[in-house]
Amino acid sequence: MSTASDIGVPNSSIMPNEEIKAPLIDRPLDPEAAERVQAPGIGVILTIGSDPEILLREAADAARVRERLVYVFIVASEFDEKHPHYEEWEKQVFRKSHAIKSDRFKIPLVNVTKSLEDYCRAFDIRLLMLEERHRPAFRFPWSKDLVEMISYAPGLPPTFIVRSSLRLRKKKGFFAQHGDWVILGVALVCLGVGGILTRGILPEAFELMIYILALAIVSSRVSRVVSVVGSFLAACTYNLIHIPPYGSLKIVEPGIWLNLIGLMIVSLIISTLSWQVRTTLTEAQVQERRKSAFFNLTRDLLKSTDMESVLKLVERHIRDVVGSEIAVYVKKGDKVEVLRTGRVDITRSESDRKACELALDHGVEAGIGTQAQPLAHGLYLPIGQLEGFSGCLGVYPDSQAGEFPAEQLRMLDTFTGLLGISLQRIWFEEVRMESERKIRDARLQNTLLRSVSHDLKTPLTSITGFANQLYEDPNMPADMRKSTYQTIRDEAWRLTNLINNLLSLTKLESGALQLNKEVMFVEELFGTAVSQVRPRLHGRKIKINLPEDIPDVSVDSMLMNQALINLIENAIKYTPEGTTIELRGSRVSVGVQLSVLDNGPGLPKGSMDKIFEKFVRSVEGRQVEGTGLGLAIVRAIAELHGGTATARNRTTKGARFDIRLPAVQRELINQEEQNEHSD
Amino acid sequence: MSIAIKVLVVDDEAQIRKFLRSSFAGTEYKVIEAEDGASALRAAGTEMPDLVLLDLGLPDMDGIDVAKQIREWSQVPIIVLTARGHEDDKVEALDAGADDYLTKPFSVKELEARIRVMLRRNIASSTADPVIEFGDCKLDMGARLVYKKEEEVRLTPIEYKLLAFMAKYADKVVTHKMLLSDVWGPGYDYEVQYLRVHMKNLRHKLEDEPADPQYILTEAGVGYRLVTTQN
Repeated sequence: MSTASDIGVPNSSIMPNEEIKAPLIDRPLDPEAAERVQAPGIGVILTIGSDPEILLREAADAARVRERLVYVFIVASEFDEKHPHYEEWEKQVFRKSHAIKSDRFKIPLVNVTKSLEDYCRAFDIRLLMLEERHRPAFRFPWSKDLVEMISYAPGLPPTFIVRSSLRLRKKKGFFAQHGDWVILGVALVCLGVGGILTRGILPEAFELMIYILALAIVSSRVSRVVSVVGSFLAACTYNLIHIPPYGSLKIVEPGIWLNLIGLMIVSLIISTLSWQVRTTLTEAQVQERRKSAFFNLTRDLLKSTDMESVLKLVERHIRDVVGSEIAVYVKKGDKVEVLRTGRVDITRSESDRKACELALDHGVEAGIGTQAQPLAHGLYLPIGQLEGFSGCLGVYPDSQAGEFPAEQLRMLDTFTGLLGISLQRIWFEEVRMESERKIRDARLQNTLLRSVSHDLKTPLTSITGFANQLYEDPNMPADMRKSTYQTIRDEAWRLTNLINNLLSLTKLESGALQLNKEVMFVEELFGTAVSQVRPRLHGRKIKINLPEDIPDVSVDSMLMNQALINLIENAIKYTPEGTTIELRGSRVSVGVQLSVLDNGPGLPKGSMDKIFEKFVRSVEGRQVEGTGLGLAIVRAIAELHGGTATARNRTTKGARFDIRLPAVQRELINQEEQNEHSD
Repeated sequence: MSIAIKVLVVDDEAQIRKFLRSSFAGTEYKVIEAEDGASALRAAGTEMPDLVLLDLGLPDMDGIDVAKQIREWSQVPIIVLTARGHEDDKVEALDAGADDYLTKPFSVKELEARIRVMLRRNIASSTADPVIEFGDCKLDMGARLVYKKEEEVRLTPIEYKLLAFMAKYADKVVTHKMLLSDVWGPGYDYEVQYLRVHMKNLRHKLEDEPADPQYILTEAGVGYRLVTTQN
């Protein structure tokens, strides 16, 4: 049997027994073996450590992974092999892992992360389980143990640490640990010294009262055990100092017993009572704080309707209650969105990224103080089961405190739940608004479609009609023939214009248009537009009115040219021949205003804003040829530039159209610079 | 009638070719047709046309590449035909060596006017006329002097260079890039702002009404055109 060489274990004697059929793999991975391992399941947990049974049980519990699993056991060799009981141990491990149908994979500790990375990639391993190792009492600050190496390795999946007593918590100071005893000691010393100094001066009953008072004060500060021990020690001290023979515990008078027992009983009762009061009070305070925090947050959350204010609230409340920063991550589909970043950038800290991933993908609490990725800087709490996305709340304790106390954890749990509900609510709200917008769009599109199809069909009908006539009637009189041709030509032009305008408008409104802004002289903008419309002026005159100091504008020159041409052509359409069309540039509070003024009939009342809508033509203008899109295009262009387009009647005869553009920050090259360039 | 002027029409739309063919029937122009880039290049080599009308949207290759390849060995005038809204193509084609452009749909009149300009300049450039007149302005390239209403106009060296360059391509469109790389050199290809300032000054010196220019016209998004003939 060649199983020994299959697993790459040097000594065949360590093979547990002959009935092992599970594939045993050693590097280099052979593809056939890879296939066999991968076949039984999707989610894979990999364990590293001594006792596979415990690891696996813990793994399944902690990860709450319900998929079918393949368990792979890794022995990190090298150092362990030198151990006198290594062979025995390995044999045992292999037997156990076989019993739980686990695969075995042996890799050297050298380059362990690289080997693991290859393995995880080859077998689609998503989680790692590691047994915690005892840390040596001393190690160099830069050295890392296996757990740390794997937790920090960027190419590896998230890690669970099993049987975790691994804490990064700093040891408490001496006073924090033994403070109660110190207080008790100090009190007893004071009583003793005071007693020796005042012995015989004060009456006996008064001495007892002072002892009881001191014990009452001490037991209001210290833990219960300390105060019980304190009662006994106080009785002893009393006996030593105040009961003759002094300096000895010997009791001569039987009545003294009553004194001592009385002292002990009274102080015990006092300590018990004060302890009870304190506990109740603390609990009540905690409860009160939790309730009011919960109440405040709930009340505020209900009022807030957008993501940003929800996040701000949760951020503030957690800072107030727990005193830590938060991070919020939301995963929609495969994309992780960062709503808030905390102290730690998860793209930088590998162990935090993994912890966050666990919370998002598996709904597991991960990070500091948990079993999953305990080496992370923060605690990552999953935000419930949400519709459409998953989320996680990251909280970061002060680096001093280590991890969160249980009471704070409970509050954080509550907050996380509330955050989940709020995020869900906002998400539903967004979905609702989106569908409403779609309905509105569809309605608008319907109206548009009706107008478009009407405007497209009319010229087409006359074109086909007249073309047919020409085709079927070869004897049409010459003048009639000519006018028919003319109609066909004009209608075809109309169609062309309409389609061109529709295309521009669609492009403008799609939002996909990238403005190619440059700083332009108003003079050049006017000049370009005028030279393009000149052939169509038909006897109308153009007057240009530009102040010397007109500021430059930042525009997409082609689009702004189009807007100006549309305005001039609009003026041409609605004004009689021989009138003057004025182009005027002026400085206004918001920036620059480009105006086209005419001497025509002006705009009908109440149509000032309507004429910028699609397919609207003034009533008098029904006969005027046009697409009804020209002004809509003007407005779309103005708005794309962050400006406005408006129309009104002049105080004298005629209409004026204004495009207002925001002021440009940087003027075109100034005069001095320009001269330098020229010479 | 003199020798026919051969016009190579490159367009994949049979209707457009038919329209151009019938438009030119009975004139001194003779139409040669090509429906894709490959046959256009072949025809340009074998037929030696006097002018090429090139549609940019061809089925087998990019019209701009066709223009480039023709330019490698021939100075034949090329007018590109573009669909509206593809201004970038237009500029690219002009920079690649095309001489002018027409946006579809266009009228036969417009086309004929453009062709006349092309052929005239093409003949004229071979004689290298040192004096060019437009309106009441005169540019004497031999003496490097510019006159308006018989009076000498003082131009800065850059303004003169710009005017002379536009005069070399009189009535044809010159792109920003062509002007910039000729006057300032290759490094300044994208400094269109310089150009605007100098063109403004030039207009103020030569035009009667700079905001309603007659000679130095701006082709929005493309470049400039010096108009020397009034239609």
